[in-house]
Amino acid sequence: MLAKLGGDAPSRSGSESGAAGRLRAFEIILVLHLVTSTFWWAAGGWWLPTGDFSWIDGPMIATLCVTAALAAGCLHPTWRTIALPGMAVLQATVVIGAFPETANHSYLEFAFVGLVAFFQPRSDEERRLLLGALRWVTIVVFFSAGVQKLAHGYYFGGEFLAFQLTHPGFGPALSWLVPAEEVARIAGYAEVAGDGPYRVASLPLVLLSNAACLWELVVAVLLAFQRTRFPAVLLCAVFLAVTEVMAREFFFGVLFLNALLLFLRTEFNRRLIGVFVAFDVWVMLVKLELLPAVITF
Amino acid sequence: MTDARTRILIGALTLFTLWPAVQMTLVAVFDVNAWKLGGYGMYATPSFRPEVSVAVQRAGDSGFSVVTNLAQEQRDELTTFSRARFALGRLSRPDRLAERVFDGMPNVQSIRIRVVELRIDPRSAMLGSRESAFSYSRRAPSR
Repeated sequence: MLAKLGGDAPSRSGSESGAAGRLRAFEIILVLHLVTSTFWWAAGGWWLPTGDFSWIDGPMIATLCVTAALAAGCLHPTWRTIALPGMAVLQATVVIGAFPETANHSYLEFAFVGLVAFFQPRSDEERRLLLGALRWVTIVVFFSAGVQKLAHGYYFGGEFLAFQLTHPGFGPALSWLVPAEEVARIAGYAEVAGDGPYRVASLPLVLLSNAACLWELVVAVLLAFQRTRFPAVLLCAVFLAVTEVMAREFFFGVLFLNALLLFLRTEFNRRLIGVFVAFDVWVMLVKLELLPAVITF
Repeated sequence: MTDARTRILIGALTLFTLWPAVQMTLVAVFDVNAWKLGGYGMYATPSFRPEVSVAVQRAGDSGFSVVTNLAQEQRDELTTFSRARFALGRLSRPDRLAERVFDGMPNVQSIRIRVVELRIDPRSAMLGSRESAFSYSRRAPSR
């Protein structure tokens, strides 16, 4: 099944699509992303107030040196077979270190780097299996996210989005869909027991809420089949961009975009390496307060 | 690929695939935070930080009084518990926090730790709260 999921139809010219190039580009983007997220995690995430650089200490510098050395090894064709398992161990440390508050993107980073380290994608069979495994993980995440939204029941009546109306992430964008008096009502709550109902008289918001919930389930299925992959990736990219911009939370989006690009038959992700690198540099400069923090991560 | 590696891969992917169902069970049974433990339930539920307070009964006191001036070590432990409770729900207990308070306040005979957790009821869409209390005496902890 994995081999089938990792297989692609030959391109129109009849040549085998460039799985090796795509996987290598995925690996490079992932490793650089891991350096950034490890740096962000070791620097205390978003917990510290502005101007607090107490996180720059010996262990932090040591963590960064180890991460940078492993990343350099991962990018080197010869050293990658040793460095990638090291990177997986480092990521396991991040997952354990942040437990039980570990973010979902950290678990996913561990799954991705673990798979990349597990395979030696020199043969077509291994490449196909690795591609299939990475795609499977991506589909599972999308499907699980959709099932969770259905199961917890905060999307049918738009309750989750109504709750978000006065929160800095989604709030400003969602308030366009809701009558002003309803926004004012929700804003009047101090978030203490007895507040509510967190349900608003807005058909557009309720429709959006249900669509967002069902979308993740549908797209998981669309990604599984060759014929529907391209439109699914395209729509997913738009969906991710919109939700991550609204939520101002980019770590998951960037990681997931990297995975989504693996569903394409072309090596499009290689062309985007520079964009991903620019994002990573930007995140580090924000943490060092050399750029304003217009987003959380 | 060797048989052993194939088995490892299948095992790992099976675990990854089934884990969200296990996590959802933990959410349903123990009020674990849907956003946490790798079940990919982010944005599935509104999420609230718990409110934790510590009340103590000193030797000779007839009642409990809330402690507002915890020492740094105790405050750190309270933060640790609060964060664990936020993620793990009822799987997390404040036993270590109680230990720290006993260690730092030799004249305290009993401790009550109160945890207030908010939750929006998906049916009524009303915000409600649930209170849990943990009682400890110097000898043996009890619920």
